[in-house]
Amino acid sequence: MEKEQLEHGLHHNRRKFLSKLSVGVGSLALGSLMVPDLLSGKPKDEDALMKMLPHFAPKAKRVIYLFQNGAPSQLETFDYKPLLHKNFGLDLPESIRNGQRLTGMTANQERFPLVGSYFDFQQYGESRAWISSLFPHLSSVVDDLCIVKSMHTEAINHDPALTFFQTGAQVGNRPSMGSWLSYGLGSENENLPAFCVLLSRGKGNGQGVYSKLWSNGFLDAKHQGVQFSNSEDPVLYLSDPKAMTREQRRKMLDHLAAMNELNFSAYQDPQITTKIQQYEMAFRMQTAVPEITDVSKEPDSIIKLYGPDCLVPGTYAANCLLARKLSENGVRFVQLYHQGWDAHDNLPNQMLGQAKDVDQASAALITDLKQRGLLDETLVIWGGEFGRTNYCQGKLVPSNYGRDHHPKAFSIFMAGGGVKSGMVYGETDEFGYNITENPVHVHDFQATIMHLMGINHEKFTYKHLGRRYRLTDVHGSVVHDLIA
Amino acid sequence: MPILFRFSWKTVLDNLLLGYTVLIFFMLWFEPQLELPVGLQVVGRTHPLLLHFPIVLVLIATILGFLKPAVPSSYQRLAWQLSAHLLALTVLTGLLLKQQDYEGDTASLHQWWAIGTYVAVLLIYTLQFLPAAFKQALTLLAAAGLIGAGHFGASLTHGENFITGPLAEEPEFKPLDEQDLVFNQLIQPVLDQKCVTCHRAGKSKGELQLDNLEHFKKGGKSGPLVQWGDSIESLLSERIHLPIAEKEHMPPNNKPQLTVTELERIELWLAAELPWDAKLSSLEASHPLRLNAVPQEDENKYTFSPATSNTIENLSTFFRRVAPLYPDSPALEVAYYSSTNFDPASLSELKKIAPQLVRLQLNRMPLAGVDLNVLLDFQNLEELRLNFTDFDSEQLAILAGIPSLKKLALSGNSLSEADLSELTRLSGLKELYLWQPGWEQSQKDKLQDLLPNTVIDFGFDPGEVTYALNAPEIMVDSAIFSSSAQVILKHPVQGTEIRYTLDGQEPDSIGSVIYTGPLSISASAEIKARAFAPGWYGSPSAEILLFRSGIRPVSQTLNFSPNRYYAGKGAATLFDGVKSAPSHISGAWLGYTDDPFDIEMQLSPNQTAKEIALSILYHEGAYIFPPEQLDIWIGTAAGWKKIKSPDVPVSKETGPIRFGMIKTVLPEENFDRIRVRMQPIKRLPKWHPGAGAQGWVFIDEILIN
Repeated sequence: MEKEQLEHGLHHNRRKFLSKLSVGVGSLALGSLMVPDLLSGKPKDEDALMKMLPHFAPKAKRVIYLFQNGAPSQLETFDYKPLLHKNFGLDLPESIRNGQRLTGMTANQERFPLVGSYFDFQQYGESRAWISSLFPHLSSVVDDLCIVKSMHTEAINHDPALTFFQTGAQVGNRPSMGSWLSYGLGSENENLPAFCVLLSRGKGNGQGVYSKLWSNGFLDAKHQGVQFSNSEDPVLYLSDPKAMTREQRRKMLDHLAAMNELNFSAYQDPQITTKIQQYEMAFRMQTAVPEITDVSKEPDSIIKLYGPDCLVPGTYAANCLLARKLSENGVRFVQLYHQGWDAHDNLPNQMLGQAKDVDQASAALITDLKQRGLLDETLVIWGGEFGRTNYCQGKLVPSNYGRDHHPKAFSIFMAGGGVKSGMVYGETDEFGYNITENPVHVHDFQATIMHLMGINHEKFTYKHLGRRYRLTDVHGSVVHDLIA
Repeated sequence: MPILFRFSWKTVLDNLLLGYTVLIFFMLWFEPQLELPVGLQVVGRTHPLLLHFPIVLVLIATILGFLKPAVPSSYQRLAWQLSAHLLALTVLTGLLLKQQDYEGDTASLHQWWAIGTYVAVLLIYTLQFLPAAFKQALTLLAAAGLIGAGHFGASLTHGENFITGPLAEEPEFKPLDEQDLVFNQLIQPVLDQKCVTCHRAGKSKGELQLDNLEHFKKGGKSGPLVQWGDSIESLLSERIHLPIAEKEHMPPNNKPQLTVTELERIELWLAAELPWDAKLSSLEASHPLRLNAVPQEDENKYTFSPATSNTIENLSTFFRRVAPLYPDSPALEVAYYSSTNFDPASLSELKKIAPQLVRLQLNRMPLAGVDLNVLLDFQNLEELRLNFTDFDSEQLAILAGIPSLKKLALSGNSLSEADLSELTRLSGLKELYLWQPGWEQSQKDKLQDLLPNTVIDFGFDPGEVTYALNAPEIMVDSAIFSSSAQVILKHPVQGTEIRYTLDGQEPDSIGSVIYTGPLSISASAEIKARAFAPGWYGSPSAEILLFRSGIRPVSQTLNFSPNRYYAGKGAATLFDGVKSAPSHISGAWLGYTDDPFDIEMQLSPNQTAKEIALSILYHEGAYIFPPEQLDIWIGTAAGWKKIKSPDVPVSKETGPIRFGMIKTVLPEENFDRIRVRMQPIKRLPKWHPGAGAQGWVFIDEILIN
């Protein structure tokens, strides 16, 4: 009886319920017409996303990221700390360290003796930025640089820190920054990959780089970084076998494409179309790549600018020159890695060698882009995965010391591509240990790069395994102070 | 007979209501993914029309609800039913409209207030059995919701202060009054725009009023805003520069923010530290503060209509990218790639997008002799890149006819300043890139004088600097050879001269032998080579050690075993004729630290040994040093005779990992055995980080000739 009363009160019974249900389902069906792929089970069309990007007018079109792998010391490069000279050999005060975790390499040290830079510092340019004597060339372009002294990261060891910088997560298998941009913005030049990777190593203590750093993660494989090798064949497996003519190659590809088309019409697998496109791109790359990698036509002044090492394949200088040539030809993201900055001991010597490798060519890249009118649309980034401790690792003698990993404050610089030039941003305490002003987290840095490329990092997502991923995860805010 | 179906308007309407409701919540849920067909966009635009009905109906229903005794409840039900229907339609059309244009806080507030109202009305209508008090509460809620939604909706269409608008002063562009205070003319307008809504008489948040200079000087609860002398540290500066997420950031993050120009103006004003009574006339024309106040032209405003996407698509090829500057921009940029695929005729195809074309990139395209008159059709072209195009002066004269040009890149072409004087016709040219070798400073100055408003980048001049060449490359098949070895010296920079020595001496630019072709080496040698070229400093030397292998001992004995971690294959390692990689952990090196390296070698009687060479390793960073002491004996069955041992190098600093060779000539005597003893360094020198510790000696080959 109570049930009937309730039903009456609600004006409901089974018949009504069913008839209303049909109305509800009908409405849902009507609504679903407005969401094209809701019920089709197909992923959202990638092209549709591409048409929406960039979200707004970009300041930079291309990125050249000069990654200094192994983490160069900020205290010997851009973060001048005279106090460390004054307090040479004294212990790092606990009030400064504040319980910060250390790596296993120095955690058991009995003392943490402070040590100042072996190299002198001077102020340069209109910005009066402090730069050490390691970088005579970079100090001559200081007014083009935007030095950030207040970077900080979460990881304390190379691999996670590097992976964090590149993919926004410390564990692997997420897409690299270059892959995200390739996915979001595509290539300007359809004859070249959107994301290229160039490796070199210095004589300093090195740390490995792994292809997971330029991985496409869950994005389509075509967004993976293409690693150029140091041999005569910069892109492996690109050249035709000897005695194969271009016509023969064309014919072979045509037949292959016809077969692939057959398969596609049978299975409708979009991967098959991707494959056809990639073969076609490789065919075009066969003429485009040699045109770009040939340095023999570079004028003498360019060789002087970058230094004669730019003619020796596999050096940092050669990679900088190649990076300029790729970028100039519309490659969206060129990623360099220069290994050898992990100076746990013998730091003055190691850094001297490393700086010699990179100083002239890094400055040359900026000058060269500028004299071609490309710097304003090309963002150049220079920096490592974290900083180094202000105390000595191992035995301290005035002329020789080492530094351990330090994630709480380090310096990088950017140039061109819509960042302010002649700027020094952020500040660290007198000990160079903690940030006192304008901290920039790795996610903030990534958000800022996205912003410069015309992308709202919070809206740029990819759905994978049921959740939407971003380069910046759920963090990061654009550092507008850095943007011109 | 049971009635299977009875038509009833009420049922139809109730079902319809349910349908609307489901649809509304569906759309809310899938909002980010909605894509509206054009037809529905039209439906969405009926929202501003429809919304007036529910306003009236809900108000009527509310009033009827409170006049209960006088009005039959069936009328009330009807009023609520009609309200619910029209509200549903209004919400639906509103959601459709929102997809097209609106976003932001006000839009969402409007949306959620409206949906709240709808839910309240729906509950009142469907849950008739609820107690009257409850229904009345809901009724009030609905009415309040209606007012809220209405308010935010009106703000969306008419602007924030629409009603009070006529009372506010019209902001109009007035020429600056030179006799007025700098503060009144440059700073107060910014405050009026962004601050005074909250900081004024009547609404002085933080006890701060910013409506005039007197109040500004006074400051608020946290003290004065400006602190002369250290003005950059002022409270004003702090508040406007705090990250927007901070609570104390001003203006608050839900209010319109200062623009970049406004921020800059305040910063400049603070930095200038002008007296309060400074008049505008006291500022020079070039004062940054004055320049800041000049209205900026918006460079991204293009008034021409966009090209059709079809046209853009048809013009795009693999070798020519045609794309808007960013989505929705009518302006187009075109970039050519791959010089081998360049067809000059394709330039005229761009006439189809002549009005829209603002950026054209032709870097490295072979333009020699190409008729560029087509460029004259691109009357909105702002940016033109022609680096390395073999561009000549005649073609340059054509460029001068594109008055819209703002940025021109001509690097890598050979042009004289006389050619470039044509460019004076381009009054709007702001940037010119003109890097090309061989220009005199006077030429540069002359051109800069001709183009005073253009920033010219002449690029890097190699004449100004001298750098060192890099070391040449020494190429050999193997570091150990049996009769002779071919050595090739190479340098990547063309026109360099390579000079070399075979005795380990540093080559110089005058006395040392010039390399002309492959060298044939027939004795163990320490080759050093340097490169020289005019305009460069000489290179550091490249070096390589070549070992000639000759006599192999019949037998050999190690008096002490090598360290067990670096034992190689014992003594045999020393005579395997393989030069090992420069790494002491490769397993091909014998390492000693506690014991000395001490070997006795027995030669066959018919062999005469003239020379002995030891191939050792140096790597100070890994404690691997030259031996502290080296002794060599020759001998016969009768006994040993110590000979003069060669000089041993001494490490003075930490160097890279490298090979070493210690070579000595053996006396011309009769002997059939040789003994070599190397004592590892006992205490590392003071300069070494491991000073005092024991050093190591590593050896991989002994070569006797």
